[in-house]
Amino acid sequence: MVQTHLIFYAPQKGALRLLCQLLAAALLSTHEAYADALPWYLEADKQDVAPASIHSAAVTPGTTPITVAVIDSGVLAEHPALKGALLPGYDMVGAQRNLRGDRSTNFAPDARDATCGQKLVSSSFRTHGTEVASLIAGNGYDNAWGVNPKAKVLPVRIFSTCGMSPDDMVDAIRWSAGLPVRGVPTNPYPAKVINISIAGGATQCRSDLQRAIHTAIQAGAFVVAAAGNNFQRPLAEPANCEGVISVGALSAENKIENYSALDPRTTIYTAGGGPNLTVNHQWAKNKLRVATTESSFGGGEQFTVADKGIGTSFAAPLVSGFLSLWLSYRPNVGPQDWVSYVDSFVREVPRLEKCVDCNPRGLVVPENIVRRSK
Amino acid sequence: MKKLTHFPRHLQIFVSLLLALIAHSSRADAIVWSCSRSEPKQTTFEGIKAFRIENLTTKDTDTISITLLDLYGAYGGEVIQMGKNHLSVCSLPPKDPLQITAMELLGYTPEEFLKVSQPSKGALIFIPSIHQMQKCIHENHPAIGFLKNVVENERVAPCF
Repeated sequence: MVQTHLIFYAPQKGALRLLCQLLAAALLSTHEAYADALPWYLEADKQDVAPASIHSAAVTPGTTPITVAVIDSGVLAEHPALKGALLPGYDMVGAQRNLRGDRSTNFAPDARDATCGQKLVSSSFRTHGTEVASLIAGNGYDNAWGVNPKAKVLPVRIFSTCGMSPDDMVDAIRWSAGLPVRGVPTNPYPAKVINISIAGGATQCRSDLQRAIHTAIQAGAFVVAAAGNNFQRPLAEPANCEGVISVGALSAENKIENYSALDPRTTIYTAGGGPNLTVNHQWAKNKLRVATTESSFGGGEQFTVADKGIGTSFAAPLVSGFLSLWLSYRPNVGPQDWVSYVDSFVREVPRLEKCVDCNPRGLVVPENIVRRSK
Repeated sequence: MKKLTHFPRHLQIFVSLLLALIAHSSRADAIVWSCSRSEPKQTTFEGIKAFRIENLTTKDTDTISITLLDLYGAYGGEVIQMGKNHLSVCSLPPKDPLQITAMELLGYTPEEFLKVSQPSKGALIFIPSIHQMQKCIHENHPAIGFLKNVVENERVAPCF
């Protein structure tokens, strides 16, 4: 990993490049252990493993590649952390909200300087889908590891600078599962897992959305959704829809984060990051490591990797990534079988006094899945 | 008599615990993160319920869209880009009890917030009391702040 990192950044001129490599190698030698570290939420074998780690680093992916749809704000396909991970996805943003005119095969986010009338959207929306995808299938570039680096990500864009509509979400779920959508070519790579790191809409699941979710589940797809960052209020759509695996957020210390939705219907919790912790551990920063972008010196944009993920948006892809890892050994298991397996990959999470009916459970990868070869 | 002298002590402890529990559980309810809205006449897709990445609100597209990451960043002293503008953060004085509660909800200690609340940091706008919060959020669009209750009008709307 370190070598790849050096080669990528070193100047192309021979002597200067060599000098840079030697200098960087000398500097890195003292930090090698840290540079090669896996993110705290995946770590399994170290002495000080974070209490909320899912321990997936101990597991090597199975031979069956699993497709995970990422229904989000689009994915930056050129990001080096996603090299080899992406399938041809789709832009499902309807004409009314699509700055590119209409639905198409271009699943990239809107341009950096895109605007939509008077609507103001923060720049972090643009990279949201890329960040989520990297937590599922990141290839380890600059330690941006996904839970399953062998998973295939199917990007499906539904969120644009002009927001999104529930109709687009319904179509995106159907298309991801390989079901027909009017006016759109059939998806040749039906997803076994559908990740939706979006919450909002109604406080009760609407019938058209519920119907789409049921149909996707019947077609064999696991539907995973972020619980929402509504500071301890009940689940919103699509997390409140029947059959959805809703995901709440934990700190590295295995405690439910304040911002996470709080609802007895929340299926599972996992690391979502949060404020810095006052402990003397590598995981004290309490953020998830994601593939993203930053402003370059000249005012442009460059790809980077950063410890900045906070929210149930980033907890959900850990569960989706885990499902793809698990399914890579059991490709014939379907979403209907979830209930009979779930007890084997959960751990206790301290209950919050505010929700006496809640029985929170945290994700941990079962040890009976084959261990990762070193 | 013996019973009477012991019972009130137990009762006292019980009531204290109960009060502490109520106070603790109602804290989160005391804060509603609220965002500024564009003028209604400028709404692009008025009437359409919309989802937001990470957000709860169903109101719509004239309310500014920020992520949880932006919320943490804004109160941590970072500059948040909103198109060509910067997000403003309306804040009570660092030692105001409501401000402390809000920061605790985000996991920031009063000391940490004091550090970032220096005049040169971020886009914090200080107001003397919660009564000026709506006005501050509206007049500094795009802006975020917090209110004690859910307020939704043409100026502000809940955003988390």
